[in-house]
Amino acid sequence: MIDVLSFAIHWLTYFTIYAILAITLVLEAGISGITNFGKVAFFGLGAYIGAVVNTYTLLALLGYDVNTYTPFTAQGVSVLSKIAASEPIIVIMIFFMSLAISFVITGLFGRLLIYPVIRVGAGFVGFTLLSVGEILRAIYMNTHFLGGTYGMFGIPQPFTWLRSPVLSALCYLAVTFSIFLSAYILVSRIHESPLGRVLRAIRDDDVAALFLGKDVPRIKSSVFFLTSGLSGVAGALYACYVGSVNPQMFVVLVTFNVWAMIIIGGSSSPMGAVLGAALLSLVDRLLQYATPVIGGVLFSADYLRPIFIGCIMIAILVKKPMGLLPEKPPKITAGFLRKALEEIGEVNEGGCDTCD
Amino acid sequence: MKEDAILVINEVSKYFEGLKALSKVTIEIPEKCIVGLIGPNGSGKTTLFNVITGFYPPDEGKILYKTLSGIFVDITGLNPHEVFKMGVIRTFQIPRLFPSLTVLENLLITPLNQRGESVVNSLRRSKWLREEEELVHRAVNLLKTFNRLNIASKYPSELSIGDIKLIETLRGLMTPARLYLLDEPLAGLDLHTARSLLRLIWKLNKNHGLTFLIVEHRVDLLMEIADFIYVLHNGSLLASGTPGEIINDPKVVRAYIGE
Amino acid sequence: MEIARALICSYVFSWIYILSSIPLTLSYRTTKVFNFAHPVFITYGAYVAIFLNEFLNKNTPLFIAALFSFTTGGLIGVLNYLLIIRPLHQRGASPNVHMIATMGAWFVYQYALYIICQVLMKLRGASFLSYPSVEYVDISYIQRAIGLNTPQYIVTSTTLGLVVILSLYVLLNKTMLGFAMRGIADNQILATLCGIPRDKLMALTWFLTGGITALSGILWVNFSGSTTPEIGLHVVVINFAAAFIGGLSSLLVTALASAALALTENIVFLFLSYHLGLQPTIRLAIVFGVVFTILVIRPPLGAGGGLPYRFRTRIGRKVAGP
Ligand SMILES: Nc1ncnc2c1ncn2[C@@H]1O[C@H](COP(=O)(O)OP(=O)(O)O)[C@@H](O)[C@H]1O
Ligand SMILES: [Mg+2]
Repeated sequence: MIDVLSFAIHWLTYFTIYAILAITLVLEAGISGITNFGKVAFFGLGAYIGAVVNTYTLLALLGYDVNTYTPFTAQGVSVLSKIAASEPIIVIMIFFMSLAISFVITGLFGRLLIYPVIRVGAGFVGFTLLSVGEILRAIYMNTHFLGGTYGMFGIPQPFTWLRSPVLSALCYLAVTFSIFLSAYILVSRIHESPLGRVLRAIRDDDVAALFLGKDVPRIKSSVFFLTSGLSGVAGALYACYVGSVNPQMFVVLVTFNVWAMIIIGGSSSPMGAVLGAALLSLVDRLLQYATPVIGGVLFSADYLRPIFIGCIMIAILVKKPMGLLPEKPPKITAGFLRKALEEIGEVNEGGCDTCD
Repeated sequence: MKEDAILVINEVSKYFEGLKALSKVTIEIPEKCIVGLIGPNGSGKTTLFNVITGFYPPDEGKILYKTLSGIFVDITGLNPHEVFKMGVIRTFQIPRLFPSLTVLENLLITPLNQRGESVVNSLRRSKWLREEEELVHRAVNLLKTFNRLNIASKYPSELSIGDIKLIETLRGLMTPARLYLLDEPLAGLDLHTARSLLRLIWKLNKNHGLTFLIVEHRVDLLMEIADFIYVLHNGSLLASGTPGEIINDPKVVRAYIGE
Repeated sequence: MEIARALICSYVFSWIYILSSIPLTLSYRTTKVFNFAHPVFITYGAYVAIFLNEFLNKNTPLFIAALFSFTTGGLIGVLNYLLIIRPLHQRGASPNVHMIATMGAWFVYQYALYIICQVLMKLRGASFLSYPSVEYVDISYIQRAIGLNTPQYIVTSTTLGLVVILSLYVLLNKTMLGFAMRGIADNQILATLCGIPRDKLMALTWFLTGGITALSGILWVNFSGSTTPEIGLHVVVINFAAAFIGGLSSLLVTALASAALALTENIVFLFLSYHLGLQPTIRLAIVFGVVFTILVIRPPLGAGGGLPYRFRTRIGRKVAGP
């Protein structure tokens, strides 16, 4: 019983974190047409920022010498776990601060990066962002203070001091869930607003949108600020949840997973992204539990998963391009149309015969 | 340069890999007039629109535009959206409707500075609902003028070619601009619709003082409303004058028949 | 001495990059598909050579490796065309969808390779996830016969590179097929009117693309002391950069850009590792720095889409007196 509960909490936490990525990718790719093949770059950057703030700042604030107590040495990690258990207020404060810092830095990074890139074709946007992800990894690996190849450990979870693992996991879930919910509301509000309409127009034909007075690069980059900032927050949440970061966690496979989520769900509907994220993260978590059971006789079962998902993704793109939940025209505008038609006494929908 | 011009195209040239699409074209568009631009296929009319609206900067020459305050500014080589913001709206010869937007939404794209277009306001419905409703009304009225209410919630792929062309033009007319550049607005329209469109253009011109530069192959229809006509031929200006003068100009007739 | 090594590295890398960048540009300009599964060709090309080497007990001749790699790469290319690109094209999918689908394909192939490596590892007891360099016996033999003492990779890359480039040049410029391929790039309708079946031509383009790119893989395993399934990713970043500089249309510029990037990468890396002690993982960042600079200063607008948007417009507009 307890096992099911902790699995559910575990899965839901993963799901909410990945759903933030998927929803923001829907806004970027599905709605605005930015082919972000570097999702992991922002996720990873946010995670590293989260890791740095939650360890170094915490240590410095409590008067430890950050040159000896580094989050990749035994002393550092043990001190951090002591702090996590005994200093609830500071830990929680720093935790929320780290989310805010991740948002701002990652968002600005995304915005500055995308602005020169955005006016070239989609292929190059994809390629540029993909390589940014790889380059950030190279930089993490080469930076001593980020722990180099081995990364950082002992990132305190903000609710460890609650003693009960289930309770602290639940509290953490509450945080991730509320951020996920805000991201969802944000994206669906944008989707149905005039801004969403402009973004969809840009996705369809950016040149025509430019000729209709839309400052395409500026609009795209301000949306990208928001989405990459949120991806950064997701990264920080992930870092604090797992308790460690290292360059191997932020490979292109993560980007691919998020893309698979939105394609399976329906790449331009926010609800579709949530559905896709729920499905894939569930499969993912179940497999993680199951892999040791299935065992790797000839090869490790981990490798089968991307193959399987990749095939599904291609099949959907070829056969059912809109995914499980296709995009619908926004309700509000359609409602106004109906009202306007009624006012001038037109029979609504299918009343074409009366027109001519 | 005439004081009453709204747009002055001064010795503008544009080359495509050796091909002279425009050579030293000089055109003045008087304010509050309907000006026609005609010429055989490939004579550079669309290229001229592209140069004016900043699709590509001209290789030579200048484009001057009179702002609301009455002074001329150089708009050569501005970006397309900046030209739009100065009050110059163009439509495309080959319609570029947004395929995943309904006809209504396509029309709603044009109005500039909608409140709900900023990231912050888009999150707060109360900020943009009223404006949205007004715009929907405007679009519906526009469609009603042409008896096209039935296509309001259709997608471009479901429309006839004529309707696509009509919506392309109406999308431009959705918002008041000071200068409209219409690229073959009547192509593919049935006579009835074409006349309604001309009537609308004429009304906008007479009642609101809007200026039009219209490229059109159906010269007979164009002549009915145009105040002035320019004729392009092989990238250079062949003739200009009132419709009556142009019709009787042997050069123009030769350009259309000849070669 | 260090400089000399860096120059030799640049030379060999130039060939590797040229052989993989040119097909990328070629495939884009002929098919208009931005193929994110491009790294697959490189990786599979390299691993075909590695598997051969293992099963021939380290007696692999270059021409056998080239033959097998070329065929494998080519078949993968055709397979992608038949299973992904053609159905998407027939459905009228947007270029972005093509791109995303090829990205999906990349991961399928990538992880399939991991599985193959693991299975073979169990069978042979050798680690394929990081494989030492492969020496080609026929080249060694010739080198001994004529007394050429240079490192083998110089000979291999020069020979293979020149052969491929010359054949490609002849194919594109002197044969009907080449004309047809360029016709497709410039004008699809024209090509159809010329009576060239589009389908066949596309399949052939993908076969050539895959095949030639795979050859860069067999150069890589000859040169590098440790080949991993991730090499494709590293090389493809440079391919995209070079294709980008070539505006996705000019093969010559793409080739020159590949060489220039190889040189920059190695020289700057030499400097960085010497002064800052950075590891080879930073190489990518160097290439990217170059690309980003180009992107800001002089982007190839119009290549693969893009906006007629110029950053440097005059903000304070001149007022012209009437
Ligand atoms: N982007 C371009 N690249 C090369 N040539 C072009 C381009 N655009 C137009 N042209 C050429 O310029 C000439 C003028 O074309 P256009 O302005 O479209 O003529 P019109 O609209 O009067 O029919 C034509 O010969 C056309 O082929
Ligand atoms: Mg034209």
